[in-house]
Amino acid sequence: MFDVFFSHVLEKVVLTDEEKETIKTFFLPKKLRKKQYLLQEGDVCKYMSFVEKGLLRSYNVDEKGDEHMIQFAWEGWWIADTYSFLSGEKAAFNIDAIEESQLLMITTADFEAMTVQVPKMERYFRILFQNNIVTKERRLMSSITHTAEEKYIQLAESNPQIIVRIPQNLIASYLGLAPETLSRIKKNIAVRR
Amino acid sequence: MIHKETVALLGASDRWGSFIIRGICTDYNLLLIDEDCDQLDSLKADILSLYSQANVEILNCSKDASWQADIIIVGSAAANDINTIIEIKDVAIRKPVFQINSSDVTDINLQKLFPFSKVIGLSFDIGEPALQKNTYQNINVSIDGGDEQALQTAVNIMKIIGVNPSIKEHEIIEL
Repeated sequence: MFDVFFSHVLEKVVLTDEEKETIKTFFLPKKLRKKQYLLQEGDVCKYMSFVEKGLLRSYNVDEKGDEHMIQFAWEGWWIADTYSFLSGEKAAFNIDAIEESQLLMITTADFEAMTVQVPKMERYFRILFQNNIVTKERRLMSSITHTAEEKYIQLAESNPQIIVRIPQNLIASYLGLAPETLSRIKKNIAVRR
Repeated sequence: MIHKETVALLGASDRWGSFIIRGICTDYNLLLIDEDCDQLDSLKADILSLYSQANVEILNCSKDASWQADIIIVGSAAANDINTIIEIKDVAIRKPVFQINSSDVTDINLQKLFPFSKVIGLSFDIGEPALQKNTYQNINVSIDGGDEQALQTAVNIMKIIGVNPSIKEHEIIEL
């Protein structure tokens, strides 16, 4: 239940077996079915969730009812409405499962208690948040400067195994494209190859 | 919109288990486990006949049900089944686990067995759920546990059912 989690953590910090057993006691294990909600807009995001298995998405729904993808999270990724999680305010995002998923979830209170008992986890989460900021900066830059085709190629090349698991209409939404535009881009790429 | 949480009831055909399930079936997604499959089928059919929108499912694995659940309710018979306890222990961490206490079954202290779960004891003041004019106003339930949020969740569920909840106070011993 914690294999992927500890592989991820051990890339950044070294833990003893005793520390691992302590850390396990702070996480709530949760299984989600395909299309089941983890969080709905308007709720308070009480948990930050690590994806041990499966695939989730966070998205916002506009006034017309159109969905706008914010993030995908697969094995080894964290997902939350960060502002809601940290502030206790209502969530602006929905989070649901694209595939049946297994999560490890932690509240802010348990996060604080865990880092007191296992201080090394402060380092792990500091590195996590740093990487998250860099990723978001790069995505922002890409959304401003790259063409539609460049955005798709960058996504496909950086996550080739994941992109085949995500429905095309969701990828299009994530890239800010109409599904037809994405289809055309993929066809052009295929023809050139 | 607040999405519905999922409740797993282990020992769903237990008299108090089925009483609770009937009371919360419109407010929670329900996962039912019991050895008596016929009773479960009958319970599910009964619930759906009363509330066709109820999301109620019968599972045959306690661990899977508890893994999916946000709240786990353990009937008195299930609480005494050590195999069930071992099965669900790891997937019950940090979750509210409501233990239905019954006078005719030896009580096991689930908090000792589930040290990292939020175990709440529910003790009803009569032996059988008595239906009085379609309400349960005269049934009292004592709620006992150490986690404030889990206690409040239990109180809310008991109020949804329509019984009278009270939180058991513990004597503070001054040394």
